[in-house]
Parts: sequence; C-alpha cells; structure tokens
Amino acid sequence: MKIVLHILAKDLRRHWIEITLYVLAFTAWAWQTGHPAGWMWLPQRDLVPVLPFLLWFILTVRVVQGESLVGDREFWMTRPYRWGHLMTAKAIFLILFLNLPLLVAQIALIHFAGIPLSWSLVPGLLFLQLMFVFFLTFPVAALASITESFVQWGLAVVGMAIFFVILSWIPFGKLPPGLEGGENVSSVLGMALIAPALAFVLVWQFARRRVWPARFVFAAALLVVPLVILLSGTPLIRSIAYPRLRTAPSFQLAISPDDTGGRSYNRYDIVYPREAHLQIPVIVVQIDPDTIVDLEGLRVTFNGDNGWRWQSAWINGGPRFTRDSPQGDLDIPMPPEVADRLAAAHARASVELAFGLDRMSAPIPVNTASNRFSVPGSLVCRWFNNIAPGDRAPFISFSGLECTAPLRLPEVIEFRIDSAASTCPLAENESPLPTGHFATNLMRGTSLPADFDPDPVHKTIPNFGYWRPLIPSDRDPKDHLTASPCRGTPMTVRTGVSEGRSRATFDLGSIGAEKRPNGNSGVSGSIFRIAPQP
Amino acid sequence: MFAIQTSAVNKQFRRVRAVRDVSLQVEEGAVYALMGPNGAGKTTLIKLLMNLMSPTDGKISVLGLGASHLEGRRLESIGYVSENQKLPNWMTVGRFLAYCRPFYPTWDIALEQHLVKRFDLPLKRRLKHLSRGERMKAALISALAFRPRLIVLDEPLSGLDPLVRDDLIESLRERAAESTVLLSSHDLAEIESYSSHIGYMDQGRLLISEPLSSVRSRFRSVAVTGSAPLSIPAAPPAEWLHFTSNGATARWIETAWDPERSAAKAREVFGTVEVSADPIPLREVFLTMARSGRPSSPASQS
Repeated sequence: MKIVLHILAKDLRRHWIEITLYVLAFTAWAWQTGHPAGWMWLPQRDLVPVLPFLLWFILTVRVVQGESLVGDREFWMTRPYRWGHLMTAKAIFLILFLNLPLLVAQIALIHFAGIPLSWSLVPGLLFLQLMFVFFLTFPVAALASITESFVQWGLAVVGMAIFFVILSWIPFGKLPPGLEGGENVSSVLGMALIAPALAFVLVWQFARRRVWPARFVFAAALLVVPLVILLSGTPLIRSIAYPRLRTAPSFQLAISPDDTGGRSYNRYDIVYPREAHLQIPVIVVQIDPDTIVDLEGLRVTFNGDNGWRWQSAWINGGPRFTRDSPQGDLDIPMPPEVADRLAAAHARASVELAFGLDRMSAPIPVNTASNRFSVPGSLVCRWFNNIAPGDRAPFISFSGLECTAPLRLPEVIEFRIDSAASTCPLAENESPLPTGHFATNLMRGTSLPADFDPDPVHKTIPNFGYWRPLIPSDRDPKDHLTASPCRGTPMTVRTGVSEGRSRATFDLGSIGAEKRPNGNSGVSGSIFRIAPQP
Repeated sequence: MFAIQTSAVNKQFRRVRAVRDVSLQVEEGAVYALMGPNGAGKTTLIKLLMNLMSPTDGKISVLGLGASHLEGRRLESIGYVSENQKLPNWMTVGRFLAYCRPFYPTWDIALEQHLVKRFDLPLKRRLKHLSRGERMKAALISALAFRPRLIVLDEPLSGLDPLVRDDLIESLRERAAESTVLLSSHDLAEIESYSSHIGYMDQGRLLISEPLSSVRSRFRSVAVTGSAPLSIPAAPPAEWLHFTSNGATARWIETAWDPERSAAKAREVFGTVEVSADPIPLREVFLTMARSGRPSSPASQS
C-alpha cells in the first residue's frame, strides 16, 4: 500500500495542473447546468459541457501513459514495480480525481434543482460513477495502455472514428429490424463481450506488457459493435428478448368495431418505396386495469384460399394499450399485390405481438395547488413562474408543468387528469368541458438506479395531449380539445415496474374484404369493409 | 556461480535475426564488457536479459532466475541503465532519487549523497534540463544507490566527455567489489582497463567470451620466415586467421597462442622456419574477429 500511495502521490504531483483545470471545468459546468440563464452572455458557453470530458480523456490517457506500457525504453520497467501496485495506484487516481469532482458536481446539481439531498441517493450516485468508469474511463484507459503516446492514442481514436464511419455505410437498414427488446439483449451481450475484453487488455498490459496480443483483443472488441447490430434482428435474439408465453396472455386482441358496428381496415399506397400499408384498428380486451401493454413489434400472417400464405417481416414499434386507451392501429406495410389479393381472398389474419408488460400501482392523488409539489417516484414538479394560479399554459404542447427527478425518471409513470375536476377557467366563447373525459401522460425512465447522464437532474414536461372520452366514440366532439391542467387541477399519478417482455399470437379472424362503397379514398387511403366470416 | 547465464538464445525481428545462438556466462563478481560494433546485437541481448523482450528461443537465467520472471520485487537487486532509457524528465534530480528510494529496501542514502556529491549533480534541476552526461549520472545514481548485486549498463559511456566518463567509470569501479557488472560498449578504449571479462558480438553472434587476460595472451601476430619460398598449405589451420604469404615469409593471427605448441605447428606446416610472435592490441583482436566472422575456438569459456 505504501508503494501504491507513493505512485499516487507522484502522479498527483505531476498532474496537479490538469486536475485543477478539470475541477474548474466541472465547477463551471455544474454552475452553468444549474443556472443556465446566467451564461447566456458567454459566446463560448457551448464549450462548457464539452471541456470537462475532454480533460477527462486527456487526464486518463496521461495518467495511464505516465508509466507507458508500450515499448522497452521506459525507466520504470526495470524497477521493482509490482504491476498490481501500479494498476491500483492508477485506478485510485482516476476514481479520486475524475469521479470525485463529478460526484461533487452532481450533488451540487441535485441541490440546485431543489431536490432534498438524502442517503437514498447514495446508491444511485455510486452506480452513476460506476457507469462513467465503465463507459468513459475504461475504454479510454484500455486504448491508452496499448498506445505509446498521447499522439498515438489520438491517431488510434481517429482510426476508430474512420472504422465507425465505414460501419455506418453498411446497409443495416436492409437487415431484419431489431426490436427494442432485441437491441437490449444484443447490447447486453455486446457489453458482456466488450467489458471482459477491455479488462483483459488493461490487466494483460499492466501484468505482461506484450502489446500485440492486447491490441488484437482491443480490435476484436471493436468488431463486437457491428456484430451486436447484426445480431439484434436475428430470431435467436428475438426469442431471448421476447420469450413466447407458455400460458394464455393476460389480455385479448381483436379488430375493433367501426362506427357502423362492422369491421374494416384502411389501406393506403405509397409510390416510393412501392408498397401498400394496411391500418388495422385493434382493441385490447380483458386487460387488467393496472397493466400497460407496450407493443414493441409485430408480425402479421395471412392465410387465404388454396393454401395462399403471406407473412410480414417484423415491424418495429406499435401502439400502447391500457384499460383507458385500449384501441390502436396496426400499420402493416406489404407489396401492393398482397394487399390486392387480400381484398379478394377469404383470408384469415393472425398477428404475433412482441410486447412489454408494465404493472402499475394504484393511482395516488397529487395536490397541485402549490407552486412546487412532490409526486410519487421521487419527482418534484413545479408550475412555471409565469403561470398564475388557475391559469392554463399558453401553448398546446406545453402543460406549464415541469417535473424533475434525481438520477433517473421512474421506470414507468403516468399522470392523469379528469375533465370533471378541471380547475381551468373557461376562455371567452369556450364551451364547458363535458364530464367523462380524461387525459394521461405516460413516461418511461429506467429500471437502473441511475441514467447514464452527467446531469443527475432529469427534467420532464408532462404533455397531456387531448381530452379523450372514457367511452370511445368517433362522434365525440371533444376528441381534439387540448387537455391542460391548471394549478390546483386534481391529478393522479401511477408508477409502474416492468414485468418483462413476451411474445404471443392472436387470431384476428377473417380479413378478406371488399371496398366499402362509401369509404373515402385518396391520400388517406381507402376503407375496406371486412366481409362477415363465412 | 553465474550471475548471468544464457543458452542458445535467439531473437528474431521479422526477417532480422538480431541475436543468434548466444550462450553467455558471466561469473558473479566479474566486470563483463560486452563489445561489438553498432548493430551487433548487444542492446537486444541486454534487453533480453532484463526481460524487456522475450527471446525467440533459448534459455536465460539472471541471478538464478529465468529472465521471464524478472519483474517486481526481483528487480530490487538489479541496477539497469541504458543510454536511450526514458527517464521521468519532469522530475528534478532530487525528486527522481526520492521517488526511486522507497522501491528498494536496501537503498543507501549515504551512498546516494556520496554519489550526488561526487557527480556534482544539481538536485533541484529537472532531468529534462540536464545535459546528457548529467542525466546519465542521475540514472546511474538511481541504479547504484541500492547496492545492487548485478549492474547492467547499456552503452553508458557513449558520447560522454572524458571527464564525465572517468567519473562514471570510477564510481563503477568502487561498486565492483560488491556487484557483478555487465556493460556494453562499442568503444573498447573506454572500458579496457576496467573489465575483467570480455565478450565480443558481431551480427548477433557472440564471437568471444572469456577473461580479458586470456584474450590478451592467446591472440598473437605470428610471422614465419624460411630460407626458401614457403610452400603454402591448401587449408591453413582453423586457429590461423588472415593468413598471408609473400615468398619466404608468411603471416597470420594466431587465436590460440601457445609458445611451444604453436611454433611446433608452424614447423610442421612449413618445415624449418623461424617463428616470431607479437602481442596484438585488443582493438586488432576484435577487428580480426569481425572480419573473419566466426566464433573464436574457446568462446565457450568465460
């Protein structure tokens, strides 16, 4: 330990100017982030968030290369250094002088945001430091350990940038699309390969200093990146990310009835790329009131007469279903010939959904009367200063409410307001809001203890969209009225946790259709009435 | 007991074979001068000994340990200085020595101060602001102050002015009683008076490796003179290098001189001749070896 501290003291003596600059840069960054208005006069204000991380890189490289691990001319190589001591000293230095100022700056930012500091923040703050070590220090240090000088390190970074530019030319868009869950799984897999590779590079270099094997492993770790992109859309990864449900799903999916009580879908064609899109309106039924179904991908299969069969590729994304908003459209691109044939054939449709389920808590009422108020999920919300009590925000996309959370937004959070309880005064000539309407805003954060962001204060402005009737109806006149809360508007909040991802297939029944005689056509497409099931 | 022992060591850099089948033995307590022209492979061999490189094949033992194990605590008894070593130039001399101190349990502060005084080094000056000779002195102090069992110096004297050179040699001489010294040089005059053993490398091969006195005694410039033109042998004996003849006289460099045996051999080849032998300077010995490009017969002796 004595030698570790001895090397640490030497590095501190050598790099005190860089450390001072780094601390100043982080102080400036924290001050600017916490008080953005005070920096508007500074033309170079955009540099302030960049500078601390530039110095982070420089300091990491210089400290690791202080005892260069490449070459055979360094005086220390023939001195009785023990590699464990040297590596420990470097690690302590980097954590102490890179992470500690960042940690202090982050605590200050949480304080500036008016969020009370408490011990409950400690695990998240430490986790955030760990992420910075993993995503910044670790790769930079690994590259520094296999390069001889800062210039060589810089050239290697340029080389990597060129590699990624070339990588971006690969037409990944032509590959099967990777769904969110698949991307998560392949990213975790990628990290599980890259992290040990970088750890090997560092340990190998400190212990053995045989640079070529280490460089080879580093290059192999780089190649994991395209591998991850390639893997994300593969059936194997998809089946890991979305395991097929072994039991019956907790909800059912059906084509939702149109305003005539029948079933129909909309078709629109686009010229380039030449394809037809079917928009099939669906409704989720038998859904638990505390469950949110987040559709992340879907694949449709048509089975028609004479054994005709067509299956779409996996389509990324999809609507989100809750008990309050059970409807949505499945938008399926296909060759126009398929859509044409579908219209004439007695085809049946089934859809395979890849989805995530969230379990929501019971709604908790929130008192919005004061200027600042707490919200479940560690959020603190405030009304903007220029919104007087009882006033509405002046813009459609702006509710006038801003919420902040330390370290991360809750995994799932839903704000809800009801028209019956609206406290907003009516504008001139504005009809009173009918009761039986509601508006929600659902946001997603992370399940991790912290989000990878130097700024630990996560801000969000809940946007409630439009008032929606509790009982959906096309004829509802308030369907497109902007929903806004005002100070004092009763609000409920539900937080949720992910219950994982799954895959299930639903039979949508007959899809064979005929063009609806009174269906509109043109840019928005044509409505096809689905023929009654034979 | 050998402080250094290598067996058939080779080092290949792509197409270049920098060290070829080197078998070297350095006795404990010896001052071994490794000679050879630039590019002979001396520095590579020293780097192999110091575990700065791995040999392509062959075995290396330093202070009884395989060279590949030479790291960490095992370097506490080895002082190494190289002319092209990268020192922490941002440090002052004093800070540099203070930094090295805790790594060595046997560091002798009195010896350090003695050497600093002897070398007249400015302790408060940064290493990067020192002259080459002063930097070498600082490096040497850091390699001597812990009284190492083995001192390895790679071209420590090249390019230094005579005054500095004498200072360095003198301090090494003081340490010689308690250490084994291996130093490389391409200038024989620098170290001839100081070494007990000598090795000569050329093109990666160790051509000579033996006590200096042995080299001096076994190399002779031999001349034979007959009364009539001499009959020239088709293949002169292997120990005769640079054989030339001119009528009744023949000359060569004898590499295994023994007054009686060598004279008898000459008479056996030429008949009745007058044999004269003169000692030759070491410089000429090495030039002869370099030109002939083959190992001297007793090279395996040390």
